[in-house]
Amino acid sequence: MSDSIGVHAHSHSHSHPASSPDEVVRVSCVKHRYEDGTEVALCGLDVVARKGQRVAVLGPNGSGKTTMLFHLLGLLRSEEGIVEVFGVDPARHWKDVRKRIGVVLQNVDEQILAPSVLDDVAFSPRQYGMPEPQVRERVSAVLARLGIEHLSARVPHNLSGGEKRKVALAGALVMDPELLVLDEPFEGLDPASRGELIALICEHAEQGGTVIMSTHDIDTVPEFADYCYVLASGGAIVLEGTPAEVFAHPDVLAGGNIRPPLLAEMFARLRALDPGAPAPELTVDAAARALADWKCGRA
Amino acid sequence: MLHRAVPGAKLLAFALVLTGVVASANVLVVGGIALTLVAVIVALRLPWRPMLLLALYPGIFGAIYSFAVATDLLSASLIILKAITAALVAVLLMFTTPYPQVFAPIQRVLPAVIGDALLMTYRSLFLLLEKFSHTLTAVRLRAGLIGANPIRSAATITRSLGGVLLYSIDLSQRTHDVMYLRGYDGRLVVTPQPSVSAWIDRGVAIVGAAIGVMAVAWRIWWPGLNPYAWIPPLVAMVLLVVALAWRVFRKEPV
Repeated sequence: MSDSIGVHAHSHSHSHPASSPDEVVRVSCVKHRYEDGTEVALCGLDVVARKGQRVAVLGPNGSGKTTMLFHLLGLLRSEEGIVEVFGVDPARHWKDVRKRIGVVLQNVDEQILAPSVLDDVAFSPRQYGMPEPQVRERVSAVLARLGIEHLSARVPHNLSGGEKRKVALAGALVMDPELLVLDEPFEGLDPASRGELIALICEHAEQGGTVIMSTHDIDTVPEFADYCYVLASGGAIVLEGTPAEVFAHPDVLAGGNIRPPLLAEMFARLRALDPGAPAPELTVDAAARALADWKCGRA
Repeated sequence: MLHRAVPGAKLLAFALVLTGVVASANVLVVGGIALTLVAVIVALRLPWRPMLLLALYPGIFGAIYSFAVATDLLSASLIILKAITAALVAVLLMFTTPYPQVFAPIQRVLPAVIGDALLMTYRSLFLLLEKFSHTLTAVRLRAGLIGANPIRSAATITRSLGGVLLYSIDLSQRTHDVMYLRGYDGRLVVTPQPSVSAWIDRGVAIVGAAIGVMAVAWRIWWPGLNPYAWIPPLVAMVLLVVALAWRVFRKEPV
């Protein structure tokens, strides 16, 4: 089934050149076998992220999203296929590229290492041997950017889930990374914090940074992603495209146990009831405008 | 004030006071040191309840040991009091100093992997305690702890501990991964805490030295000093009263 989906999706997808100067990430038919024998084959389509792009990786539990991100971070070494970050294999040359990569993992509790927020955010610059005044300057700037200066002296253990995620993000952003890798970044965040995180991701991309993230939060994908990849069970990459392109294939998404965003579903049902209904819009503002225009047109 | 002193001064004071406690053979002197430490805790508005509770734990083992070896009540009291006072000094150090700053000097003289392991063990301990607490809650909610059947409850707790042990092995791998991702390269970098005031640093070291020297002197010249053994606890009591009065005067909860 995944093969047929892949062919179907490919016909709708953007084609990628073999490699281009602005290419930051490439994952091509990577296979990995875990100790318990579970095999993940990230095949079907190449995953490519370019400079300034915000890429979302979608898929059901166990589809290999985290496996893919761990390959990008050099934590897993592929048995087959190509993994390239800034043109090198991160598993073999991680030290060459790590200063250019910021990471927020799914379990932020385990990512926070130091006894105070300030020390934790300062962890990477200190490890890289940056002079202390410069470390302080960078830490202050990133804490201010995330609006968490007031937490600097706090013990991370006592922070709320959302605050811990912001601290982890500050630790990832402190080195001004060119690539930000986020594993389920919206998990446990309230709507306000989610909005702030989306704004930060967009700001990072506007400044030329690349963001690649896995998420289950389908409804927010159109708000932050320029491009999406959809994984099916076992790691098959079955669909790629802009959010509008990807969510226009509810049948393929259903094969990967992914429910399209509520707005996409609502517009699809509206069209089923009335063929003259507007084309799907995936953000609240665009949907409201489309519905208002449709209403005026009808009136 | 203790928070603002450099870790080096605090470690020196800690070592000196600890030497005094270990060297002392007079229960009133050790009691005086313990009361002085309590006065410091009160004056600095530190969370005295958990600190005293933590310091009391070694007292339990001290009590068992003294039951086995002590020949009279006085020597038994001395063993227990020494255990509690030594623990109180350590707790005071840990509550007023970020742990990397405590372990950093140790890390400098040990092989990298051992020094780093000491630093990270401390952090992992918090995560493991939290995990164990969550596991126990889950066990309780699923009726795994039955008051009427302590043997079954004990077996369940042991199995839970086994689960936490497996989690800890996994956690150590993940922590190493995270450190590697965040720039770890075989040696954790701990930036020394700068001195806020040389006077505070000196003051802390001098107080520590005074306590240590007093206790050691008492041990050496005890025949002449013992008639005045009531002085250390009296001075400590005065300090405690002053600390309490200061807090009441400042209208802060004790």
